[in-house]
Amino acid sequence: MKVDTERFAEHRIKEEPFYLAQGQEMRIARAAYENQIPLLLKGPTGCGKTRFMRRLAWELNRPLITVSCHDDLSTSDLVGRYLLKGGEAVWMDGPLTTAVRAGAICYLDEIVEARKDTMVVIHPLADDRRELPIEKLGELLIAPPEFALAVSYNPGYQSVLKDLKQSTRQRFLAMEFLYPPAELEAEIVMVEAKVSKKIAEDLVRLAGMTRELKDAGLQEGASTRLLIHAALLIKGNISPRQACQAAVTEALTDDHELAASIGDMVSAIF
Amino acid sequence: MSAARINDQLAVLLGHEVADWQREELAEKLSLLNPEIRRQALQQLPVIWPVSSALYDAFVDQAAKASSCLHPRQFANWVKAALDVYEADGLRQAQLFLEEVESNFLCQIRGEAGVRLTEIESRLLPYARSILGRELKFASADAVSFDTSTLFLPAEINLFSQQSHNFLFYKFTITFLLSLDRMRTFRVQTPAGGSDQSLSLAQFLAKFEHRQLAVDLFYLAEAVRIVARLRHDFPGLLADFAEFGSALLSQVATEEGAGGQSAFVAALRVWLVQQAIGLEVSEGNLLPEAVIERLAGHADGSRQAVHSLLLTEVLYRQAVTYAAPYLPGPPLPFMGVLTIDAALTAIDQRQEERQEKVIEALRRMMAEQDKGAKGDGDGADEVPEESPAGHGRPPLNDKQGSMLLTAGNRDLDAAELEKQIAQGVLRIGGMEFELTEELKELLREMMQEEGRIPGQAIVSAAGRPAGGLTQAAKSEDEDESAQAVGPLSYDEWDFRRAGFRKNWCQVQVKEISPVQGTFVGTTLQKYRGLLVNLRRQFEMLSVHETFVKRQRDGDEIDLDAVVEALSDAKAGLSPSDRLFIRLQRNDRQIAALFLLDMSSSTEGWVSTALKESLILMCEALSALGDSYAIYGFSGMRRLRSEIFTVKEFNEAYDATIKGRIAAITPKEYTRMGPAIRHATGILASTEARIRLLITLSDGKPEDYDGYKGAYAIEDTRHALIEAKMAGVHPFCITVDKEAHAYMAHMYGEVNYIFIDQVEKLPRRMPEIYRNLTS
Ligand SMILES: Nc1ncnc2c1ncn2[C@@H]1O[C@H](COP(=O)(O)OP(=O)(O)OP(=O)(O)O)[C@@H](O)[C@H]1O
Ligand SMILES: [Mg+2]
Repeated sequence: MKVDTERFAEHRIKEEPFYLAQGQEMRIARAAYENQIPLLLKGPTGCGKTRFMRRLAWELNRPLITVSCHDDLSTSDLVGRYLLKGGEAVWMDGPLTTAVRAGAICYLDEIVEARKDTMVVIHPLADDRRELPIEKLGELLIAPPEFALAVSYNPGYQSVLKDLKQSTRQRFLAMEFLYPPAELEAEIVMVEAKVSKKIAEDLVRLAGMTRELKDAGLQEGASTRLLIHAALLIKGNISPRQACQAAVTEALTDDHELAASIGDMVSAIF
Repeated sequence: MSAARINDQLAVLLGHEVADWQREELAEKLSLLNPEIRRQALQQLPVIWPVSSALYDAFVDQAAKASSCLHPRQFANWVKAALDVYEADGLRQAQLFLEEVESNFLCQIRGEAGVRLTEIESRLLPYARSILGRELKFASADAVSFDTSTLFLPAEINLFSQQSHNFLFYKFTITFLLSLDRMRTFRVQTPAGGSDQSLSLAQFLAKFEHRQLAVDLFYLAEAVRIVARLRHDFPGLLADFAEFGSALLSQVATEEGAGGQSAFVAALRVWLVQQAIGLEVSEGNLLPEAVIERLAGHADGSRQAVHSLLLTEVLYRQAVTYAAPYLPGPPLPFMGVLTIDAALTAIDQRQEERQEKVIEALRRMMAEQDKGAKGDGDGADEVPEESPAGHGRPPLNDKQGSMLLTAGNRDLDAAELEKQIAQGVLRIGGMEFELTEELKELLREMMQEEGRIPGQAIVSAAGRPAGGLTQAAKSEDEDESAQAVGPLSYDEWDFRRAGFRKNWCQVQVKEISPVQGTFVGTTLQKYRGLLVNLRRQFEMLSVHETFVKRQRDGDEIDLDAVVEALSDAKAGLSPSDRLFIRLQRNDRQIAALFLLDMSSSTEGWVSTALKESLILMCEALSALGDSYAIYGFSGMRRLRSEIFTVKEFNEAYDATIKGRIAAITPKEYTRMGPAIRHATGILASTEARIRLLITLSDGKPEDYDGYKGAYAIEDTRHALIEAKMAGVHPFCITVDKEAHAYMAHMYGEVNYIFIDQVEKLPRRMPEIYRNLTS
């Protein structure tokens, strides 16, 4: 079967993504890649997992194919299916199959959202067999050495329905991502939103305070992503208090009392 | 006054028309009020009760809150207004009116811009905690101060004519005072040099002839430094303050007339306020040029507390050049007074507690890793330390012991320790331990607050290898040999011997006899708005997975599947016959068991809030259709662990169940292990895909006998592990402020939630359940 070069060309990352390393994560990921071990990234939302994958793909010069998992995701959605085109049945590779054929990196985002039976298809691909059976084609794909699999999830969501099966998680090399230390995080905000050091530092201080609010009922504090959003608004000449109100306070909670507390933090800093 | 005595009083007031249970319930509630409010409440009884007993109930519920914002004289007016509403719009409106005492009544009659501590507490407490990074309390007091654990604030602030300014002034005061801890004011020491010993703050201040003058000057110097820092960290706060802070100036300025040293201090205060509101130093400031220059230098944002000591000396020398002696004036309202002794006591106490926690955690970690190294014991009666050598880590030898001892005399090297914490190990006396999350957190906190880790902590831990409890447990367990029997006997995990004590605990299942009363009705009324939302949210949950695709038969055709099947057929494959979508009623198949800690350990835990939460939960779950059960537990020694049945899985939520919930009252101790094992048994025999065990608790497991400390925690932890093995997901909701120290160890980091106020439970619990199961 012909590899659809057009289709994955768009997955190639052309510009160098900005990624500020927190530690040895890049080295570990490269080592995993060289040894053909799949990667499991865990961490709170908006802490840089997706960005890290883009950077890794760019450094390894491989296309990156991302699938956001949801509970309706079926095996065919991943592997592929026949479609009717002009009365003809035409086989369409799913993203996973495309990635295997192209020797790309396949990144399954929020893997716990997917149904457990769907995830079983990645099992033979994620161990040393590295194979993907395509039943409908009667084909057994063996992944080339360039192919890599990576998945992510957020262990902070306390849902009993969304836990990773041991048989799944034990196939991966796992790395935990946390919000970067203050100076790094400020630098990220500075570079991403092109704001002054002062604004970035103030935003990071705000984030630190919201992350202390867990006991008061906030599930997660402000992520790096939210800080960048706020910074972008500020950059666009929206007053910092309003920017934070929209990008941080309201984004974090619907609870009025909590929102008031976060608002007090915002107005103390800005 | 006891509930019984109040009951007698009520009997006189109400006559015998009223049912016993109704009177008892009321007496119970009244007994929780403080005497003055209770007196007020009893005075209103003849006024309200004859009109509506439910209204009186609501009145009592709100009385405590009302008393924090109403003057006792205003109570009668408040009641009268409520009765007016009752007559015009009925019970519900009158209840609402009472509930909203702050907005409905207070402002009407006070008509002032004042803001009360009780009004801002729930909003600014999380704010303050986020700044401090740890727990703290607010308390109202005449003198403003901060002892690093409790912020003492005025009960009301009405310095300014606008309400928002009074609020912001609370916020400014709080942020300012918290800086005393963040900037290490109380921990400052003079530098040691040459023959000079390093002095503590108290020793330093004692050197001056006029101690009070020195204290006030030092506090002002610190305030200058703090304000400079606030300008950097919280510029928004200072910008807000600038809008109204100048009103403080007139207050200080009026004192300036005093002359001499007092005038000098007053002038410094003026300078400080000017700095805080960002004014250029005004003309005619009494301060000499040189002093102003020093102050400006001190306010450059990079000074340490030790610089304030130097500045204190300079200012003091200047002050004593004035003849008229110092008569301390009232402090600036946001500064209040510097309570050095109280702060040091609080710091010491926290340090001790933390050290104790570190020792506990280290001990547990060492025991755990010892045990791990030994492999599974056979549950023999021997304590591991006495078992023959050859397994696991040998006991400390002399050399290691003495290394540990010398280590005890000095602090661990901070840099080295930091490195070890980062690597997640602790190397000590030639041994290496893997640090638990809990320990990492504790050690980090210790480093942050104290700047050091006392070697003492680690030596103490190593010196008591997990054995501290052995004796206590033995001596207090009066009857070692008694065996629990019957189907309801459970083993208990003894971590010291890494084995079970067989048939150690006896569980007794007890009935709760339902009471009838207004409780359920009132709760449903009170949370009517919330309930509408809850029902909707929970219904949505149940609808969530209603459509199942690719079924052999069903109500609708699954177009995706059909297209795929057609394509497959065209491609020469045998097409699937799963072409339908079926409406599935509820495919959640969740069984949840709520396990209620009914111990009387903390006052007010088994409270209205807890019972209200259960009612709300039941209402919400009725909309959802998950099957659920509720049990309470309590205990008095190992042979009397009690389980109270509130609702079994197969019982419907009806008047009986409601009556049982209303009847829940505090019992004795918290022996968690047997309760969890019992609940696990019930859950395990329930048909469901997901089995949830949700424990509601207010504290550590603890019973009257030796069941406490590490022993109790380890048994509970083991019971939870057993539950997981049986396919049960344990989760815990706790209100214990100390929870973080042990919960993560027992339940795992993501499997518990701490709620900082019991009153929030009714709102939070359904939300937690929803998150947990979606
Ligand atoms: N280390 C980093 N270097 C550069 N940018 C970063 C870094 N960490 C976070 N960011 C910024 O934060 C944003 C959010 O990160 P990202 O989208 O990778 O989060 P995520 O962990 O994938 O979140 P989610 O779990 O919600 O998908 C990125 O767009 C990027 O701007
Ligand atoms: Mg992502």
